[in-house]
Amino acid sequence: MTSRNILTNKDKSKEEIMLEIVKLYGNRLKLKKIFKKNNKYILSFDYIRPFQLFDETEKKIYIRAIKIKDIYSLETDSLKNISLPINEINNTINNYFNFLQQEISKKVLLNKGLILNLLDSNNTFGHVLNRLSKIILRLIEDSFINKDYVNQIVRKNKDDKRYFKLLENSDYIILKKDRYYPTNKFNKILDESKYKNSKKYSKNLILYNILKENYDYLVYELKLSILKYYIDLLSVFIYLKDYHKLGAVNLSFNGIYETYITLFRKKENKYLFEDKINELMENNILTDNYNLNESYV
Amino acid sequence: MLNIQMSLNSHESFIISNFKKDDNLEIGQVSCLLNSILIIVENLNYEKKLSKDEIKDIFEYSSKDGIWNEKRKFQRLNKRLREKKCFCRLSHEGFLDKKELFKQLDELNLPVPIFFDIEIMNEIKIKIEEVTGFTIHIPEDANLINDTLHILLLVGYGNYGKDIYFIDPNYMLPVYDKKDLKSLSKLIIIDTEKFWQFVAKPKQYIKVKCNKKEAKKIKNDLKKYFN
Repeated sequence: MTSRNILTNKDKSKEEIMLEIVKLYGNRLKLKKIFKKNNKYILSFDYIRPFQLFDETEKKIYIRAIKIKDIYSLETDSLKNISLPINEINNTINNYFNFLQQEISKKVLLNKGLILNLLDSNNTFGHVLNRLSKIILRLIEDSFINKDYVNQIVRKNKDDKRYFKLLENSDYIILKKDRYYPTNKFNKILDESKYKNSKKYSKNLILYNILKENYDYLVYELKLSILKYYIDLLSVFIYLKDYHKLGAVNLSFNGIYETYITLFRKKENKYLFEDKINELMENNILTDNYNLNESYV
Repeated sequence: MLNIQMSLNSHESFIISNFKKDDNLEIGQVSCLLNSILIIVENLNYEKKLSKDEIKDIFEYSSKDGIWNEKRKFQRLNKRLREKKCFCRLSHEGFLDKKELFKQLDELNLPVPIFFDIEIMNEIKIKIEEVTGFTIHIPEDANLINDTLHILLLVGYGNYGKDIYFIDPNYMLPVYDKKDLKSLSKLIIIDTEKFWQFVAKPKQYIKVKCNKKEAKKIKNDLKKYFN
């Protein structure tokens, strides 16, 4: 008996429609449901794309898939000549990835130990926040900053004015009679960090809170795009762990690089990427097996 | 070593003879469709007329997201083939009977790319591990992987078609040398029951259509190449 005879009429029509769709749009669109409502057919699709990671040390290949459920729903009078809007579906895929990136970035930014280590270590992430660090340190040491001093540094670099504005707007400092004072919010974080008895730790804890609350402003307004580079890079590890159950496996540089391209959908200079990965290894944030240090998982 | 040779008349067994293999197949990202197309073009003896880069330009989307007009991709490929005076055509088609697949195999002596559910990997991973030295890890949580497809290249059959011989274009082919392709022990053998259990729904393959004159020419060219 051939497969044609085994199929019921309903199955047969679904399989035929599926084949028509596959021939037109490939296998990334999966017809999940087909039903009739008010004399119209409703076809519901998922999006599926396989990907794989090589663990060259352990000689393992991990096969996984990116799935977007209910990516598109088509309402049609007839099941003949089905046509799908490719651009609209691709826009939905883009939006999904943008949302996913933001969601994972948030997870990275909320990982206090991880961000504190980044701020504490010798890397570009901490360096680009130096000017903000100096202001915070001065507030910790002197408990105030004179407006004259602010004018003086702003004359040297106009951008510093924006850091004061940021601190003021996000309620870390307040201007009273020509002096900037730390607010209760600032002092509360300071109190939290007192047990460490380290000005550097206190400064980093305040920086961490500022970063968590004002990440987009720092990246897009103050143009500290290198912060995003680090957060995106670390997002790869959170993505593999949380979305693909690949948190506790040895990975390879190429695997990480490919996942970065998959998640952020852009090619990056491989040398710069490798440079940053090595930096994170030196900072003990990543292990030699290209994975996130256990203490941040 | 394999000693089964073409016995088209008896249909007891068949295996592609003189199978050419590109030494620069893609390894890394999932590239089973791209590798399958490359292998077909190579075995049609079109590789000098249509470069790998041109094919990649048309078909390499495995590492990118989104959907495409699949039909148009094949139309572009066929248009390019026509422009270069190559008279075979490729298309993504459905099938109902495995005889359709065997026909392509027999008549053109070409591997036939067939789509399977990813669960086939659980059946064939031991063979892949044996050949490549790499362990294939499929997640136990089916939600992480189901609905994904994988392509295997049909290269022969035995036992009157009850046993079907395949090569994996993604994992095995890039590391195979030519003599491996003639050794039955290096091939994946799937019995008919498993074939129907794991073949993708809808059932689909890459069809190659050549006129008789072209098919004869391809066979002769391959013979000359290997002699």
